Amino acid sequence: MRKRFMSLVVALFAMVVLSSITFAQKFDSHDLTGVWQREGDRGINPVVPEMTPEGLKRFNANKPSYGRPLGAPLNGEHIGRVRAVPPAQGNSLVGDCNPPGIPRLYFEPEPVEFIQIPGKLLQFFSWTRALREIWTDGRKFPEDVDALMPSWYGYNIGKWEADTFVVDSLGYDERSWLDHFGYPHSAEMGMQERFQRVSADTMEMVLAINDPAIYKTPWMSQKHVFKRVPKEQLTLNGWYGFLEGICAPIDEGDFNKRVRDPAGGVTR
Amino acid sequence: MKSKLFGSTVLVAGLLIFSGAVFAHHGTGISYDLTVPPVTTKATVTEFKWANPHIGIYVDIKDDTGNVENWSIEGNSPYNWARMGWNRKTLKPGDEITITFYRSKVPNVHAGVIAKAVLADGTEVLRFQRDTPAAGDGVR
Repeated sequence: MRKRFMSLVVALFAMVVLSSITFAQKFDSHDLTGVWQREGDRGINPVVPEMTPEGLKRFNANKPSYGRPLGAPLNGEHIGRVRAVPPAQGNSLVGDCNPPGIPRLYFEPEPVEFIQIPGKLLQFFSWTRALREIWTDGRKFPEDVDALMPSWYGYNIGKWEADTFVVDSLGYDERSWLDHFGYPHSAEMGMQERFQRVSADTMEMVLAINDPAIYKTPWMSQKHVFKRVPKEQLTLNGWYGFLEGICAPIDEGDFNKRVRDPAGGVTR
Repeated sequence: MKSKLFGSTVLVAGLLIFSGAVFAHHGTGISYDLTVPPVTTKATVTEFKWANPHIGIYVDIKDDTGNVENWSIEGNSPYNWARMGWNRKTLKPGDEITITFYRSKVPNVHAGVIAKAVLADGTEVLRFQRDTPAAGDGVR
């Protein structure tokens, strides 16, 4: 009886282990489709390259509300972490519901859906419901990209290099911040994102920001890890999907006037 | 009973999962003083605004002299709170609640950020901050 019980336990254990291995191996590295949630703290990389005089000027003009209070001791962190002022006294464009832009939108706590269709990969961001197009149809960048509309989400070209999806982008609107800490960029910034699906439920991303007008050397990000979001986590009242995450000025304006401004000691 | 237990488990799991995002809300430790114990008081809901990106909770609170003042309390985002089981019907005008919140750093301003609300039947809702200051609060 005891022997039979032990055999059953061993068989069950083997089934669980084998099924998890099978599940873990069952994915297509060229398929990024799905809803992904980035893990970890916000920001590109705590190691920040030295800024140019123009970069420093823009950095000092930006007044974020994320991080520790302005003037707090550094404690070995990057300078961006100790610059926060009350939102009412800050100047992040996001505070009035302007687009966060890329890469800042990656650092929001809400998920992003990747949708691969012929000719492009779409990124559908839960927060702000922004749709970003990454073209995979073999096109080149537009001629004289600066003459076109500056873009919050970039002019983006994607291609596969072995198992890595590489996105090169240009043409960004220089009013956006790179992250919540107020690190600036110029209109000449070029960015490369490298995505790799490393398991059925894990995707990694590394960014490289090349902006000589602002940073003396390219800014390489740390490895950002995204986890696939199970369907049940996005199901509310029996309805699957993103809860509409639109930052509407009519709502944010009301909130700022009644809560944030008085809380931050600002009367408008 | 089973579904109630399941519901509680989901709520606790939700609290644990989202605690990182909750405490990472921007500006919270800057506008509000999280280094002192929060205020806990009876309040009457005058408006519960379930909107992006921040939920506003507006309540009447009676001060020590009996005067009633309207307070503006900052909440979390609908995205986070909806996944913790709360919705736009969680509070309604006229509800008598016990509210715990951290005050603005600006003196004499009737604004704060919520720690939690407790309904008349004892149900705890809208958990956002801790009940007591923790090391590192306010200096994120």
